[in-house]
Amino acid sequence: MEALTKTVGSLQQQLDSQKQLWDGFHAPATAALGGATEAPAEPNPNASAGSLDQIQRDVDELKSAQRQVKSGLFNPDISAAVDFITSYSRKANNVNFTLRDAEVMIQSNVDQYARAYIVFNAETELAPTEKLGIFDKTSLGVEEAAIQTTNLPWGLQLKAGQFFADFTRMDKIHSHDLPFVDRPRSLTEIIGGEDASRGFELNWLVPMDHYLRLTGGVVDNIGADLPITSTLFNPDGSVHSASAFNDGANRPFQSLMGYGRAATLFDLGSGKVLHLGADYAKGSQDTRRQIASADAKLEWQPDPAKYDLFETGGEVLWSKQSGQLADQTLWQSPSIESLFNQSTGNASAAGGYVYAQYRFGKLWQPGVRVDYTHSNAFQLLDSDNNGDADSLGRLTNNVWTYSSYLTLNLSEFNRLRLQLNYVNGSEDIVPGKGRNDIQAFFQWTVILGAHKHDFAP
Amino acid sequence: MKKRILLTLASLLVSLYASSTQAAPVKVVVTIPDLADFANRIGGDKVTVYAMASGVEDPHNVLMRPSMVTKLAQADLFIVMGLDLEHAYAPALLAESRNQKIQVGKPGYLDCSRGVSVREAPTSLDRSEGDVHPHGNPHYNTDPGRMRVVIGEIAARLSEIDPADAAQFQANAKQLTAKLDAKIVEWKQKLAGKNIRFVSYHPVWPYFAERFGVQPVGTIQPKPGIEPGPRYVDELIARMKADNIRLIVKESFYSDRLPKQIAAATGARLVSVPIQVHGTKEATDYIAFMDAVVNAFAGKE
Ligand SMILES: [Zn+2]
Repeated sequence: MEALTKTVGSLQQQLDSQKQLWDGFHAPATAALGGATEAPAEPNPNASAGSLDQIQRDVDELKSAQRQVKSGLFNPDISAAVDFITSYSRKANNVNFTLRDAEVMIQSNVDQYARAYIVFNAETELAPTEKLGIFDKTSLGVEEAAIQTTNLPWGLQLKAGQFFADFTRMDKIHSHDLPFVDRPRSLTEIIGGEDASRGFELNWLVPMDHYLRLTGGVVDNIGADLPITSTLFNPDGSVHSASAFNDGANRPFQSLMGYGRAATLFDLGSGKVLHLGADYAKGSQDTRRQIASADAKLEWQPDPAKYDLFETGGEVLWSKQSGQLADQTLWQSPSIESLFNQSTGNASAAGGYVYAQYRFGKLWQPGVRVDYTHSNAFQLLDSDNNGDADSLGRLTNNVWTYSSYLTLNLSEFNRLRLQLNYVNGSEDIVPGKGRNDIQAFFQWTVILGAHKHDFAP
Repeated sequence: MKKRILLTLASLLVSLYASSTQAAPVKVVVTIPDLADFANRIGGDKVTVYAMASGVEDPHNVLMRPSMVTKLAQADLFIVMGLDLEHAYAPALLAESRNQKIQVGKPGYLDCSRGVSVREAPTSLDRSEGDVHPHGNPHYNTDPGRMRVVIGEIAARLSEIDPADAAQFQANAKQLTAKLDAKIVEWKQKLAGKNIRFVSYHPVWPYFAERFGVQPVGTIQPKPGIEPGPRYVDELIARMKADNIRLIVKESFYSDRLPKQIAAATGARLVSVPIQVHGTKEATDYIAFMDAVVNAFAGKE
């Protein structure tokens, strides 16, 4: 009991000192108006009720002061996400339960100059046509960790560390935040997954009445290199492909990748906002890699008094990579090995996607998406038909993916989604089982803790 | 093109020059139109005011527009209601603006909730308690008494930013407060002795209820921001019948499907009510907005 009294006493002291702080902080407001209170100047027949009111107000104010002090404490914002997906491929007759993403994000101001964030995650690739065991295609570690300035002048912001580069519209978005279950094939093929990069990025909100944001960066790479060979299959159906550009043993300055993005928004009035963007990236030396893209998005809120929201958008992308080919140990035939080690070659890819979705009220959001991906790479040829590859030839693959999806937003933090993909390629989609496939996905995503809405141009 | 760039540069220089002298009006950005109304009346011709929300939308759900960022980037003062009312758009836009003057904790950032007593502050934070009122009820603009404090805060902050015009700000604030005080007496009289008990769609009215003695007895949303299931609606109807609740208050931006259904089942009067300035056509400024609210609660005589 005594201890309790002590605690209460010290609590009271804390409250008092907080109130003093609070009053000090507050002084200009109350002093200026001769103490503006919530009680209007009116004849009050019941004085004691008035003073009770005042006491209640003081208590409330203390509570609110405490609340404000509390939320200003040094604990960083912590949030987490779980993204669980059930996938089914009809041609492969395969069901996967995939924990695509389990991530924890910590972010906070560092001091008056910078803020920083770290994203730890375990991420598993979505591969509906392959039977995945536990931890197959799983990567575990630090997905992003970056420092960002907060007080550079002239609308500048500098970021350093490992981060998703501000490059293209959709590829910098974490997979569980995408409007669809799967990342469009064109993005995965052409950029190589998310915009994961390490380096420096400077972006500038141009100080004028029209919204224009320019980004430039120097990083080691964005995403992953183009595969030099199209996905090839051994006679037994196993996958036979590799990224086989010679990387070089070191990384001279010239081989870093430079990129830029310009993004602008137009307020078209009556609830319509148009986003436009364009990007270019180039790396040189051992492998000359180039990526160019353009994107657009239109948001339309037909009635601001309702939750309905129409959104349509898309991107077109192009990429080319050339350089010295290298043996990646997959090649069993000595003739192929030597062929690879002596040649220079290139791979290219182009494509894009468009989507449209409509949110009816708060809960339901159906949508459709079409993706086209064209790739041009090498394939292994078996000219003498002896079962062993003996030469290289060109192979192009064109894949169309038609998707429809339905999102159910149970709350801001809990989301269910069903998606159906019809995939049609000029090469086998499922090894040995044909050039098309129907794939179904069921996704359940939840977010825990602090949830920040992003403004992502 | 070249000419345009030159013009832009010139206007940049002009604005830089203007900001270094105190003659230019204080650029104020606010979230909801209620705050715009106050800022305009207090600041007069010494301020320019931009409101992010139009007023007809759910204040928790405002579409982010590019002009909001560019306005914030140039603002001297950003005024918010706080308590996470603007969680869906204000923090993201503020970060994107990169304007050092108006970041949280700086003199150019005014969170009006810091001066008012907060109701329904949760004792523990748990997301199963609904997803939009984590710091207590943010709809305190329905209480003109608390908005008196807000008027004082805005006047004080404007005076801090533009001391040369402080006297004018204080005079305007005093005038506005006096006008509001007179209206509060009138509104109280209108609602006095009516013993109004009501069900609303979203928990918007605890402050209004406290001020004017009306009694909220339930909400159509079981938790803030959460839509009800059929069983909950049946229970609500049964409860309303048992307690003889005669009024359903639908905040203007919600669909009237459920409220109509409940009104038909209970025989209660259904009114659509703005919850902020410009929420409906008649709510042209703060006093007109409160007039509309009070009239809706009081009903036609
Ligand atoms: Zn609310």
